[in-house]
Amino acid sequence: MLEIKNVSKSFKDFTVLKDVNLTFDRGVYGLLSPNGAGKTTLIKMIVTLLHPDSGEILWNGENIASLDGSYRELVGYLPQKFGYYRDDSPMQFLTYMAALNGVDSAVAKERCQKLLERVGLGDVTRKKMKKFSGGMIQRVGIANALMNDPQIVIFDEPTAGLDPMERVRFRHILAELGKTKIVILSTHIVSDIENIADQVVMIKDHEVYACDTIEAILKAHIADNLETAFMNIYGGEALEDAI
Amino acid sequence: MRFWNILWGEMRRYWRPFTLIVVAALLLMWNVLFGSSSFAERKGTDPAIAYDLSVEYSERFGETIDPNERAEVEADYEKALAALNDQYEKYMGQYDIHSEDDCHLLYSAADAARNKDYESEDYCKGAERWGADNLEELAETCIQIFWDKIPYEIAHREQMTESILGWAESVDEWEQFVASLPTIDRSSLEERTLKWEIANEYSPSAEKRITQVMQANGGRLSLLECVYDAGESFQNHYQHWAALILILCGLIVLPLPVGNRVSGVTPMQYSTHAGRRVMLAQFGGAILNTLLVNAVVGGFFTAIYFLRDKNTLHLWNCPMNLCAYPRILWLDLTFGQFVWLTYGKVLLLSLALTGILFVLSHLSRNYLPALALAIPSVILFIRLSDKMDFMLNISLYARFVYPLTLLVSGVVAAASVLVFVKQARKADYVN
Repeated sequence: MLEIKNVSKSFKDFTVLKDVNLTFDRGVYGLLSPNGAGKTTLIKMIVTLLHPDSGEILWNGENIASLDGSYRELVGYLPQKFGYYRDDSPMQFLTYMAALNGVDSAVAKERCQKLLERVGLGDVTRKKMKKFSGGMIQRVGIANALMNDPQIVIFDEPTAGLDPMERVRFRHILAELGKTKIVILSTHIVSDIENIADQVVMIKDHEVYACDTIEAILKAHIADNLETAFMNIYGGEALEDAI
Repeated sequence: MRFWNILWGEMRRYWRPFTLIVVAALLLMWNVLFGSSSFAERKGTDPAIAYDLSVEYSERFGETIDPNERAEVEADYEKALAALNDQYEKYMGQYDIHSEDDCHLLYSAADAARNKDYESEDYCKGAERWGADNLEELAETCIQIFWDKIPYEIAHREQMTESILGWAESVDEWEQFVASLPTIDRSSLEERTLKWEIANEYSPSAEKRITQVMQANGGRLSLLECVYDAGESFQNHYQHWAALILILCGLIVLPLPVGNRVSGVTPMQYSTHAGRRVMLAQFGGAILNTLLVNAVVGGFFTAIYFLRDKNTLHLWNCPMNLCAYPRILWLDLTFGQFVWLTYGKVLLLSLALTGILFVLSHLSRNYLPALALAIPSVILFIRLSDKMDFMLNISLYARFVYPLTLLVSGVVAAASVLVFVKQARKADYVN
């Protein structure tokens, strides 16, 4: 179980998150808010790239800062901007990341091959990534996030660049993962969440505004779909983003 | 095992195809520009001959020389010089040149003519009596006579005699000077340096070398001059490669951390099991690369120096503490030790530079600021390396400033890396 307790984070004088409390257990969680609301900051704190100014993040009751590498071993992360080496093939890149993830080199290649097949890149494992489309790169990122069979999988804006077919394939992967793992999906695209999220977390004014099932949120905001509820909650803020 | 896997991964990253191409191009360019400097360019006695002669004389006269032996040596020299003089006259007879001055006169006449009309008969007038068709050929003849055709020892026979006499005078003067040492004012740095130098030269080991100076034959007056030429030519040869080694360190170390940050790989790395420990693997890789560059580039071009002038290896165990010049090298180095010292100095400086560049590259958000910080650092270290070569010629610097410079460079680099890694492991990663 992943618990976020009274976490706040500021950059200089700007408060990004204030007193955030959340608990994640098995299932798919949609992290939904307009751009700049603090989703990425929250995710970066969960993956230990940033440290909370106050409060703590606990994994099964232990502070993740003290767990260090043994916690990160349980986390799969696809950042908003997936970084890769252009001259590498996906196999080379994933093998390198496997080494960083502590995967035994004897099994790393086989695991990378399986992951690439799972995301539909089994036939281009040796091709240089600089020749890949945005969608293919994103799929390498998804494969990378699943490298160490993580307990917590975090995707930050994962569907950017994916075509409709790829999105469907991705949703299937997410649904399957959600059965046994914590899956946190950060996006501002409502439809991504609507179909697969068990719960939705909404951040407004630097705080957690809602953390509930889709049905409960729709009911609370008298809406028949998540998009309407989203507009009701964020109103002008979301519209400004859209414009 | 995990760490070695990561280290291997980082090593592969450092040696990207582009880096390999640039390194190969620079090596080729350097070889074309600076590859030709060698001991052989300094005309004079073959080191093997000078060495054998010294050994022979040393066996004949022992390690010290008394006035009778000195007289015997000088008599030998006189005989040798007389023989050389005969050769000289015979050789000059072919060209109708009787002295070095004749050739200078020829130059003057040609110079004067050149001011009027380069193509005119007047211009070549001075050349006619030498049988040369034009000034160009004449000038070439002169140059060849003095630098190619005439053995060095013939052209400089006068100097050799003076030098032998000069030694006797110098030794007497040194004896007087050493006797007066306690009366010298110790407050002046220059005087103190001078005193060390004199005292050092007049040590028992130096006495032995003075003997060798007297005993050796050839264009260079002694074996020691051979060693000096070898030392200086190696230093000149290696300083270009030292500069390249330092440039290569920057070229190899810099792009990886900056590239990772620019391409967005850094957050991917930091969120893995290894986390920010990946920096240690990167640093380990950088250090390994620096060792590799020193071993390959430094080793290869040191080998080239000795392959080109194989006989300089005879000088490997010869002392470099010169009596013939007012120069004192640190701690009575042999030529071999001097080569190792030069090699070691560049190795230590390049390791220090690697540490500093490693930190600077992590602090840079993209290539431009990284280059703006790295280029001055590399230039600074190249300058430092050159300056340190000169330090060896002054006793005070050689004994204290030289090792201190290396120590400070190493400590600054190590402290920078330690502080940076410690801070970075706790700090937020914000890009």
